[in-house]
Amino acid sequence: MGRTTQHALLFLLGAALLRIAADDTYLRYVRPGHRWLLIGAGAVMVVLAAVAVLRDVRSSPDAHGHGDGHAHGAVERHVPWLLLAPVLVLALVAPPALGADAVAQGGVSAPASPPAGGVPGLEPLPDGPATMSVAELVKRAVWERGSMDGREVVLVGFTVPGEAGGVELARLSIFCCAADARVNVVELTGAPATALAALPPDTWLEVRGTVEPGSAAGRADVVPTVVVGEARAVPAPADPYEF
Amino acid sequence: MTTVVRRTGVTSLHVFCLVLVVAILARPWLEQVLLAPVVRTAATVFVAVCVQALPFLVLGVLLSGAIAAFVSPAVLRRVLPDRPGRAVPVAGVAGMALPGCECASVPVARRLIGQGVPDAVALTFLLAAPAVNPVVLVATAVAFPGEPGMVVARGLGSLATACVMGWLWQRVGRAEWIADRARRAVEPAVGGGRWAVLAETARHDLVSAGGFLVVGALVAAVLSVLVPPAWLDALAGQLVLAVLVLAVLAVLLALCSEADAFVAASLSVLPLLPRLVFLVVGPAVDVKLIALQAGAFGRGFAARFAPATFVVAVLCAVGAGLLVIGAR
Repeated sequence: MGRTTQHALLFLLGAALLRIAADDTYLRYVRPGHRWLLIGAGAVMVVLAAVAVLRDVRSSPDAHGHGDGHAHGAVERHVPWLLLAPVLVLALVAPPALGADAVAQGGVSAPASPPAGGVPGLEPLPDGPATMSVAELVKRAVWERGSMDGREVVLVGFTVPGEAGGVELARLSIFCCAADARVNVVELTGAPATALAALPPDTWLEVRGTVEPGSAAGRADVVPTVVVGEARAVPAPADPYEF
Repeated sequence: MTTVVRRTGVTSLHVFCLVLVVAILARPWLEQVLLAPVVRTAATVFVAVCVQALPFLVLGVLLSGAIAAFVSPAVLRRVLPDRPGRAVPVAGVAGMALPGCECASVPVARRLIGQGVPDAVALTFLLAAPAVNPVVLVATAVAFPGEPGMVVARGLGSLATACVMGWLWQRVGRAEWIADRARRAVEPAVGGGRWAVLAETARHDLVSAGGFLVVGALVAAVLSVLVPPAWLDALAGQLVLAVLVLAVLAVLLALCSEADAFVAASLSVLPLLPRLVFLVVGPAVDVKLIALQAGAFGRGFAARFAPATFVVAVLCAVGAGLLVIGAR
């Protein structure tokens, strides 16, 4: 691959990183804190490409046109072409955040086991309806068995088809990037849930309901059941993941 | 009459422009393919791995450029102990100074070899930097609250892996297994001072390592769709089998070393020992790293180094685990 092409590729890749960090697109792939790393990396790429172009132009125009001048193997010489893959995928499609498909493929696993000395980060809940993440509800229901029985909760998540024609509310949590996403789901029951089952997968909902006592009974069953009081469609949140 | 020799034929720039035009024209079709249910998840994971790793790769190539420009071989010789056997553990502990993902350490290790650091020492650094660093150890402590043994065992197992591989390379490793290009400095484009060397080295390493990173990300994306973690639940109670399966999984999933502790913590049906193996193997050898190493040091190197590292890492992890947390 010629030097000029390398510069063009590097410039485009840097621009793609800057582009996804400019709005909320990057949140489909990584955590919010990653934004500044992306901006820094994108800027470095653009600068390195620009500096290289300027230097090549200023030195002789013909000196650099053809290859690296290294005796690379045939495969190694062509590998930089692959940088085009993330550039094209980001520029043309920008794949959406993980959703119902990932839930169907990944399945549900138990939350990390609670430490011996109590659960960190889980304060006692105030009275009244509790707005919480799906991940927190699952954690509380599984770790502090029975603590959520009969509680009224408000959850935001997207729909996935449940077992036997039912419907579930799901949310993914990520630690670093979408490659390490974990699935948390609650089963929705009650009269309104029948209508919800007709919604297409990946419909974002805010659900208000009560946790059915005795659901999420430990490692074999990590899916709490929520009896839906009311549910309304909401726009997808800027950050589709929980942490 | 002009004396300029014009090369006829197609240059890579022509191909590049053609690819761009075709891709833009084929956009509706591409969208349809990439947004099909199964492909969509893989495409998201692919982009996620690239986007997550690229900043660390950039950090690595900037360091690599700085080493090429500002750290002379003489200085490195003065800093490191004379005998490589003693320098190996020093390099292992020096890994603490580069708190980042494994992607950053490959270009740095390559540049160390280019500056005349003994191969065994540079390779020890390569394995130690992503695993034995404060960020990763703190993340492990957060992921396993109430199990400080995991942090100790992980640090110990990873350091042992790095040092054993270093000493092993010193004994049986051959210089010719490492491709010549790893030893060559990047020729600075005509003139220019140290900053020009830094910029050109960083640019060169970024373009080539970036391509290999894409290979690793592609493999990891496909595998993450094919190997859902949920079926691991079947391994509960099978200690030996679980050790082997999680070791292989660490290679295939190619998680970044700052996140793998949380994934390991979430596999709570499995015993602790296999999860420790997962944490020690992952930063030392995974598909993304193998691709990056093949790019930096040659395919012949990767074909020998990766399997050896895998075996050593599993053994060191099991050893450290039995010592610190026992068989549970």
